[in-house]
Amino acid sequence: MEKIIEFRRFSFMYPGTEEKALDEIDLSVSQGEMVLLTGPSGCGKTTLLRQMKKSLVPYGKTDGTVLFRGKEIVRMDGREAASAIGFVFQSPEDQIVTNKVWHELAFGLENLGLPREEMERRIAETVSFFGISDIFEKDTASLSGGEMQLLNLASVIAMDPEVLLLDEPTGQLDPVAAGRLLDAVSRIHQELGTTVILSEHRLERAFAAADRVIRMDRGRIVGEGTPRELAGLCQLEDLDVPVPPRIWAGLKNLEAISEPSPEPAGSGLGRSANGPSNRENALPDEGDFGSVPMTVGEGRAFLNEYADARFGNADSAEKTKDPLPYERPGLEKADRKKNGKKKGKPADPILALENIYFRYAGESPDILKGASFALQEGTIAAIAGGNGSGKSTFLRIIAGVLKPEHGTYRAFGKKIRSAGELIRGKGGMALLPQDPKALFHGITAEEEFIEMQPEAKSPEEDLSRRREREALFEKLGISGKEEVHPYDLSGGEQERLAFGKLLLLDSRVLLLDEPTKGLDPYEKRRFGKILRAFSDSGKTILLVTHDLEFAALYADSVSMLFDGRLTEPAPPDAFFRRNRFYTTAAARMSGGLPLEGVTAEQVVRNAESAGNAEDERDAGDAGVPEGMDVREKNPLESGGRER
Amino acid sequence: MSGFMYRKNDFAGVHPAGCFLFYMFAVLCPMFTLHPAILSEALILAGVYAARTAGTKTLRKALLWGIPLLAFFGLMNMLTSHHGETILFFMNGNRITKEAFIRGLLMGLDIESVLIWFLSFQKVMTDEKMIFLFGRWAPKLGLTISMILHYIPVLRKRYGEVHAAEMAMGQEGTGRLGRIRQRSKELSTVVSWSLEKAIDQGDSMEARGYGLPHKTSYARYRFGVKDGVFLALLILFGVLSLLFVVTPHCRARFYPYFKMAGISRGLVFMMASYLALSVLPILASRREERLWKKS
Repeated sequence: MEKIIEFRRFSFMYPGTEEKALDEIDLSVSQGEMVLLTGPSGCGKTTLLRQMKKSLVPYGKTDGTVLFRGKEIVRMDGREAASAIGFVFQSPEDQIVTNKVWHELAFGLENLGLPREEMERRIAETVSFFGISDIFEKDTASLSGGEMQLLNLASVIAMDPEVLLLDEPTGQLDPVAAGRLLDAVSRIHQELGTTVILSEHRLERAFAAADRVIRMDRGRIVGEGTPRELAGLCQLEDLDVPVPPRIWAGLKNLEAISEPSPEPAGSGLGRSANGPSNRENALPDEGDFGSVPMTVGEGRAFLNEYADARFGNADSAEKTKDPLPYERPGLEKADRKKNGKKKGKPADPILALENIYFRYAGESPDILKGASFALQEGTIAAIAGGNGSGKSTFLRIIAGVLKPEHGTYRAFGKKIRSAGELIRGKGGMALLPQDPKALFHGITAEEEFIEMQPEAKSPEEDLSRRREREALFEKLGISGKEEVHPYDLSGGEQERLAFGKLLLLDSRVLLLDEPTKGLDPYEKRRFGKILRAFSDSGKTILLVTHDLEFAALYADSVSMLFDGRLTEPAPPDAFFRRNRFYTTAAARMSGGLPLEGVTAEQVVRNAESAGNAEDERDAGDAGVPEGMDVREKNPLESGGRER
Repeated sequence: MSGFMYRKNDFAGVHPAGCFLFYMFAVLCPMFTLHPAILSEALILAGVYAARTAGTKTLRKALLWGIPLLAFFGLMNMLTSHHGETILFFMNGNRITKEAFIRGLLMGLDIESVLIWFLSFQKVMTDEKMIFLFGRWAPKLGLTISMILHYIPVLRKRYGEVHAAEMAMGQEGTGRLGRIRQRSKELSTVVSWSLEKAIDQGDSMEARGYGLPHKTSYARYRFGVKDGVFLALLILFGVLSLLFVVTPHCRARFYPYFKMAGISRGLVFMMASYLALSVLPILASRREERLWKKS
């Protein structure tokens, strides 16, 4: 098959740096292939993608060549470079140029100088392929993020490219819109035969659809293979891989620890479990490939089999409930509250809203119809909900930015009737908007913090302020970036810097609007840990998100906003287990099974404890004396399992 | 067939040039006379279009505002013009006459009818038609206008975000000076933020070939035979109306006493031409509708 894109020993360094952004990349993509790039932020995915588009090639020092159909990209003719290779960026709104959808679709075609009839024809077929005729006449400003991104994709496809490049196209989108976009990309790949190269963190769908997955780290390609191959090599901790293979890997590891010898055929598990699988080791046996679950559906089948084999009769196994999240004693807090209730009087919520009605001026439908919510001090509460459900609106009402038409609002013990009565800033509340850049007024990160601190009136005060800033930089994991311009920080660093600004306000309640938007999975976890740290020190945090896994890991309570009302807050464990599909991938995969859990790690831990419990039970039957490490017993040999 | 989708409105199927010319004639004719009959006709026809495109509520509001407008003009003319036979009273040695008042009222009516025409003009001459007309002469200008129109709501939203975040932090600025300083800080943030985003936008534009030579413009409106017919009829009735309106048959005289031209062939022809002019778009869209239903 013809190589449509080729990187030959390609290296690249940005000007002024000594480290290689891309290091000896050897990569060739065949015509019609769909390639997925994964890796932590900063690994070089974006740099790599940009090298393939002539107008986007960054300045810097290059070694080696990158070719399109055997021709160097940088030497391509301008017209060909524009039409043969399409590029879709991460931010939906920033790509839109015109004010009308039809004009946006025509934009690229106008630039190519196509005659009117041809433009009309191409636009007509693009619109029908994407099914967007209902938004054709709309103003681009009135589109949702998902619609905008779909429009961007359509606008590029109208130019009929041979290669489609996408740089984290779903980063800013909610899960439903992300799914729609990736479906469209899949269709383009399958039905038009376009070569697709995309980088993504939302892997559930992209992984299964790709022909090849390439993992990058620090400018190098560190893994390459079919999705199944890479899934087969992954670890539970690899956030760059979807949940089903991670759970599979985690369970495989468990088996490997407790089963030094390979299993007989029958359970279909860990046939080559010779110690934990490691990406540097040789590939597992051929036989294992078939059993790596790639989707939630396959994962469920796998877990059913596993549970049957491992725990036999599902009824007899105790449903272990390992607490969430795993780094801190979340269960204790829940217990504390329960105890509080038993003792008679629950703590007064720091915020309480009742029966809130709200609609935007002029537009008829009510966004909030009798929403009620109470926030307990010192907790992290999450409000989940679909796009457009009114989550951000609700947050703004709490922040005093919007005024409800009806309903009561009590904050810090007082009834709030107008925005002026609400304590904001010090001792009150503060809002972190969806884009942290809205808070950046300075030209260095340090300046951002300086802005929030009161002016020092003496050298001693100045010193203590400086120390405060240093400590904060440290706690947030951004020390060393004090002199950097806020816009030059990574997404995760920007989020933490903005959060730091709010912390300096010394507010009691922090309101976060979609804090994980656009962050890679590692950055999300880092941010979540910081939230937990500050919640432990007394801050109350309310976050609005559509990232269910984040809520599951880091929130104390979750409620859902739907049809203008909020559901009763519940601990994430209960909330996510209850739901059949509005829940995390791990929960969808393991629901109803003895080791059901809300995160991949929890499922594996449950399997571990259930296994221990089972072993204990079996050991108890066999009369093993206490104190013996039961895990070393081979569970299969305890007899009676293969019923 | 111009345009993709059929829209139920009075100007469906009318080429932007036709729309523009229509309004030009519609507004021009009443300006040449102060004859109450002609002005009333203009007002009524303008009102019909306003109701059909902008809604009766908007029309009602505009008409209500017309009352003080008329009164204002009436009074102004009374105070500045001192001709006329029927003296109402004296002020500072000047004659305040009924005729001057009437003239003022009719001037107000003239202006009001133009304003009511603009109500529907706003709705009909959409940005895209404007862009289309300008785009023919200067394609880049057309794109620029489109971008400006896109950016206005975007910038407002961005400012809203920044301001809301600052408000929610309690940073409102104390005192007038403090508030001004706060606002300028917010504006400066919007500017830097927008400049940053503009880099991405530039990338997106370049990636789609912006800057290549020989750029064309996506013309959604094609000029066909039926548009030619429409324009021809439009010009015919428009010119006829103008020709008649400047004759004495359509005049009204105010000094020394108020007299408007009586019913004459000239007046009737003028009003008939103006009426014909006005119903052309409606006829054109009805025809479009019938064609659509047939197909």
